[in-house]
Amino acid sequence: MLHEEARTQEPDGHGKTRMARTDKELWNELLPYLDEALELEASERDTWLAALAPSHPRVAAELRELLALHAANCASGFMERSPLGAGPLVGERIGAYTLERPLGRGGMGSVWLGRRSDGKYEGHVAIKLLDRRGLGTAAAEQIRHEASLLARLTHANIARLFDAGVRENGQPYLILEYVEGEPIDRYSRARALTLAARLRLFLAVADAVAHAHAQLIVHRDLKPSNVLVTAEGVVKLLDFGVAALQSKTAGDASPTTGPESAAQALTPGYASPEQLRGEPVAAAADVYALGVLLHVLVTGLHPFGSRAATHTKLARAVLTEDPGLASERLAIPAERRRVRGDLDAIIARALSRESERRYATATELAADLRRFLGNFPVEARTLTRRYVAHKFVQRHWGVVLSGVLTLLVLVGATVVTSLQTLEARHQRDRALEEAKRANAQAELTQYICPTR
Amino acid sequence: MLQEQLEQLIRSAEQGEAGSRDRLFTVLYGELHRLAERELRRRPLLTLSPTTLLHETYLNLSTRPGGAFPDRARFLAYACRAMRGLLIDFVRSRCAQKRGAAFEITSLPTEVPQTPAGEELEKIGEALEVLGVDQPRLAQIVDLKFFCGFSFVEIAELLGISERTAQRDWDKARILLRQHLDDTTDAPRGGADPGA
Repeated sequence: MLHEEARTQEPDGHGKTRMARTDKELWNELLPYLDEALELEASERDTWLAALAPSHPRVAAELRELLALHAANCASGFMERSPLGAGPLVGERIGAYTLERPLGRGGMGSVWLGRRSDGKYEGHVAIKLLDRRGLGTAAAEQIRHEASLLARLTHANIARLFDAGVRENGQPYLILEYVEGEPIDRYSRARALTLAARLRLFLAVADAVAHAHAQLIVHRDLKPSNVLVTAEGVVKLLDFGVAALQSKTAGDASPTTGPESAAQALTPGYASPEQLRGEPVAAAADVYALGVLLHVLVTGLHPFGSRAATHTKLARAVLTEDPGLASERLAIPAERRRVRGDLDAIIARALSRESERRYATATELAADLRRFLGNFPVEARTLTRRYVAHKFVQRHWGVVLSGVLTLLVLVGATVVTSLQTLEARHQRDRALEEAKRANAQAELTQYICPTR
Repeated sequence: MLQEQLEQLIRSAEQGEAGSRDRLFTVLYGELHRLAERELRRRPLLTLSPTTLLHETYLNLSTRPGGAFPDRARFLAYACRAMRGLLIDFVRSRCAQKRGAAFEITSLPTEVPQTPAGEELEKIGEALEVLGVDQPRLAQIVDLKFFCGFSFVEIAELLGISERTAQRDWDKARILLRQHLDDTTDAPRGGADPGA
């Protein structure tokens, strides 16, 4: 019946349908230019058109119109959502629970408010539906197994995972403790907490992370939106171990899913350098994220804040630069004095680019912070001094080395120059490669979750 | 019987016999609908995504005993067009009945269903029909992406193009569709009544 309709609809009442304005010939003429324009950043297109106009005035004029349509399409999200919408999911049963309303969308799925269907007990749960369908029984079994490990993680400051499974259509789901609270950074800001109060709040977070680490569970996606503070002032960590669980289910390739879903959800700004590089992740990644969180709580600013206009730039900064001292971000002299030195060193150590130079565990980070609060000497500082001494030796080696190079220059300048160029080029290529990968992952994250 | 019929139809459709094209879509449409209904009757709580439905239809058809059957990519290239028809009909019936549609298909849960209503969807369908005459590949990409919910990675693989090309083609298709929609809205044609 549809096809009859398709046949009979003839826009102009003539037998032959046609594109309304841009006919085939013109379109084919424009095509190479359009391809080129679409590859450009949106902001570059006007300049590009202006450069094209003098030599190809007609093409440029047509393109200007097409690109305006494109810009309008992007702005309005034309046809970006499935024609099916979300309606039917409300009221649907997931395991022993009924979906009540959507709470939001995360990196790899949507989160819903749910309620027990059988009325056994009151209260809500959060239900996470992962964007994966068609999982086989082996993967389903693995999810259940992993989830049963996570379900054993009980800590007053960690939101519980109650259950997990796979729906009939192969979509995995997680049933989690529903927490009403505010992200820790917003909470601290809104209540204008003192530095000591903010550090105490942070210690509760670090202790909870340490508890999980002791059970060999790594969070992998610590960030303020996963660290909530309830109205009673209790810290609750969300989604512990869920990132790992998600990437595990993503490893199962099924015919209905594309490889892009296999990537792990990363949060630019909180992901450690090794995560951005796609390397295996251990507890040190959580220590890094805790370092970012500590910096944010102490200064109100992200360690790479001013350098992080885009995800790409942010990722590049995380991979290649050291954040400045936290105290230097503070405007009030008394605050700056309080943070300068010990707290600067603690934050810097947690944020070390090389994971070996960070605190080995969240427990060590918490212990050092307690030393600071108790006015004991902190370990981060002693280590830093040793590190400075080490660096000093390294510098001297540099002097020795450059002496050798000078000698070589005397022997054959061109050889040395080309060697140096080679080394420089090698380093640049590596940096570029890293930046490119980080870039791709950041773009992927943004593609999966544009609001982050 | 059906496999041979399908293979035959696809072959004649590829040779440009207009009648066989329509016959092919009708057959595929019927097959998709039949399978969706069967699955949903068997498991009433199940929701089907278009991609799952397409894959299941393919599995169902290709495992039946019989003669040659098109490969997955070739099958999907045609079946996605039938899926468009199925979805437009489905959304239309959902709009007409508001609640209690014959069956429910759902894609991924999305919190803000900024989805085109029945009428706009039908207009998109019409514009796509026009687009398919001059630019069959662009229309196919719209079917795969918009109506069937395939990702660019999957589309690239199915059509043997790069992911960037798939993305660019999608952008181009949207430009042409937008242009067509704007034109038909500016100058409404009389007589046609899409909201049957």
